[in-house]
Amino acid sequence: MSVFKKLFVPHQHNEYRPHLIRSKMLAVYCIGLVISQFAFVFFNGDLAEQAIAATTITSSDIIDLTNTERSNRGLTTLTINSKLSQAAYNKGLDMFADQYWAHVAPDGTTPWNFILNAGYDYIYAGENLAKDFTTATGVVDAWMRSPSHRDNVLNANFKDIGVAVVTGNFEGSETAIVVQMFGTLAPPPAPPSTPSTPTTPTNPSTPSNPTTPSNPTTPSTPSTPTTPSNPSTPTTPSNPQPPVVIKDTIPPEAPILLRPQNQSILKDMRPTIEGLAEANSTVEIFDANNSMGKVPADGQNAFSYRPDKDLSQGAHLFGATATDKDGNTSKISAITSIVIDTLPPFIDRASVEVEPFWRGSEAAVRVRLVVLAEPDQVIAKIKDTTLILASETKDLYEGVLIPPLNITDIGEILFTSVDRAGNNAELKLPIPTFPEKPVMIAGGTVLGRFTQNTQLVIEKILPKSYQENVRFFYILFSIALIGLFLTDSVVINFHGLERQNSHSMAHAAFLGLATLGITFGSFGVIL
Amino acid sequence: MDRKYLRHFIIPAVLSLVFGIGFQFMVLLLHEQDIISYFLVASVLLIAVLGATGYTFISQSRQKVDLIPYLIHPIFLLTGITGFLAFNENLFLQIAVILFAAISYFILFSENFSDLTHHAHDGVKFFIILLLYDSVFEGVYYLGITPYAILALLFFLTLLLQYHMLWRLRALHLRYGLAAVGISLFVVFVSWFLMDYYKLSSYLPLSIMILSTYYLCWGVLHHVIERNLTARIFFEYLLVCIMVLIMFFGLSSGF
Repeated sequence: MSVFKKLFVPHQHNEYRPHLIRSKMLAVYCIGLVISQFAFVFFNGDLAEQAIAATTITSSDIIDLTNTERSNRGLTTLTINSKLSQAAYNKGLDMFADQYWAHVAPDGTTPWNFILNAGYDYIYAGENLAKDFTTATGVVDAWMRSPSHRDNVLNANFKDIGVAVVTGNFEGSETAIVVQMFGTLAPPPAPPSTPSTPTTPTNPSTPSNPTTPSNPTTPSTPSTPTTPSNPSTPTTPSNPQPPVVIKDTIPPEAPILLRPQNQSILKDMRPTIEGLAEANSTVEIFDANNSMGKVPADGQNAFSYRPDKDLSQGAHLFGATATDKDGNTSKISAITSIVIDTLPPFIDRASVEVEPFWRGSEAAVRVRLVVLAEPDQVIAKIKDTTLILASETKDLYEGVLIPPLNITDIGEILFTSVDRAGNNAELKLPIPTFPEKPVMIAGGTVLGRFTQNTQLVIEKILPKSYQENVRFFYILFSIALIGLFLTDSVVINFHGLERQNSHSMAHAAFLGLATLGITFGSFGVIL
Repeated sequence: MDRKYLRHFIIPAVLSLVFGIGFQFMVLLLHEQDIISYFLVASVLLIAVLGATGYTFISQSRQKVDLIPYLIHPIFLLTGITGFLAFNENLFLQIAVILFAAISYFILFSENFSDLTHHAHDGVKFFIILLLYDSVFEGVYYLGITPYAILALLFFLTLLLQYHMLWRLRALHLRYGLAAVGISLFVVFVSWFLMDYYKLSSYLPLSIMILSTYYLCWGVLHHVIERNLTARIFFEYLLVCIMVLIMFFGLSSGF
């Protein structure tokens, strides 16, 4: 009892300062919080299913909310475009695959590349990103609060929209990334009778400052074909000298291979090899020690070579030498090692298990399958819900999907497996019939209804994800500390010792405000 | 009924209830999207605040006092909550904040007469600053003004509230004034850092993280002024501040 009193109750023998709120214990709490954070991250894999279960964002909700914001301001609503949706989905997958959070991928791929690759030939386009949110309303609210994102949502030039909600592991945490893409299709080409306009590839500017929450600037006007500027007038030297011919005996610098990147895996059997070499020299390309061919470097030092026949599957070692006009040959370039892989991963159909079940009141689908040939990602998709499956043991992938709506006629499930070269395999299967929804407690009696309602309330309150678990723990922890500080403050006030621990009330108040922030704050990020 | 009891508890409690109902009414108007009426009610409450403060500090104390300094916190609280409610649409958050605001008014109107509420004034001050910080962020971004306006406003508000606190503590000396300027600059620096490198989309957590800086700095300065700063008190402030920051960083990034 005395230990309890010493720890919790302010009294004379602990100098009206319970040991649980003394500096040493506060330091212990700090260390404990840091350790628990690392522990949560370490065991995150086990919580992955819960994190995904907590995400209630669906692309249709995002689109509905976006259109509501537009119609509230007298703007036309946007039409869902499957190509833009595909582009958004691919962008989401790419961010998880390469673990980046930006409009422009580390390899320089812009949002516009995703849009064009999906077959959407745009004249206007825009992109909004969000992650770590758990509700669609939270996402759209956050975008509407940011002027640059709001400009995209309310841009009158946009006609189409595509949204994807992609869940997966980002930097060690399970999260959902929302990709919203806007666009307007380019008008059809001009009739043949009119002189054909030279088309230039549409090249929107990249975000001017990716570190600020600005979204990529969209091409505000259709890109106009550029005409060559006036050729510069040839200048003559003021003091012409008679030409002097000097034979060059210095060999060129070794070429530099820029593409493909070293250690990359490609699915193109005739990869284009690009690099830099001395201007106007002849570059010879080697695969291991075998010459593949020769190509001239242009006046800008660039060369580009595409093999005229397919290369074999497997590893290749590219190198290059440059030979100038006087026959001097450089040393061989640094070797670029690549692997050509055109075979998609193999989804073992016989191994696929799709099991619908009820998780509390929510319909859920548990999936498990074997995928061979080293897939980079295995994704399961039911309607708008996607899940990157985790692999605990080699070749075996599993996870639990929570369909966006609590319905049981969800049709088919699509498995997609992508390897590092970009080869993908797909398998579509029907989802077996859901079992009967379990009735928790038979109603009818007062006790039955009370138990049923209590269970529903508990189910609603209890945290479902990693972040909610942590948040729930922090709220309880803060409330406990507030209680201790408040008790201390009241007791010392009662004893007229207010100068002794007068700061307890300040701590309690500050922790109270922090608890408010923890409870109601949104910790999502937009870009 | 004991008149002292009436003055110190009943009247402040009635006033806080009136303000609480007024704020709740403002929320209802917000949900009806009647912004003009929203600000109209806020203006009526401003007059009520002036009256209540005058009654509390002139009529009740029965002495001539300069009312302006006493008005700082009640008016700032009203300004802060008007901005906060307008920009934060979560109903439960609005109710929680209204509850806190009503308690704050109770403390403000009874603080001169009770030791317990006198110490609770620290909490009211932090609450006011939180509301103002959040309103500054929301307002500036909503209006599309340059983000540098946020830094300027944070500096101004932090300095003004510290100046007011120095007045309350009767410590309006140059060295404390310079310390207040230093603290305001430090708060601005931390705000700039958090805005630039820590892109939270919600301004409530951001405001609390900035508030924690102010809480630490002012806590230390307060005890320096009262000449009772010890290593124990300093570490308590530091550790509570660190603890809150760990929780917020943990929730947003999982380290």
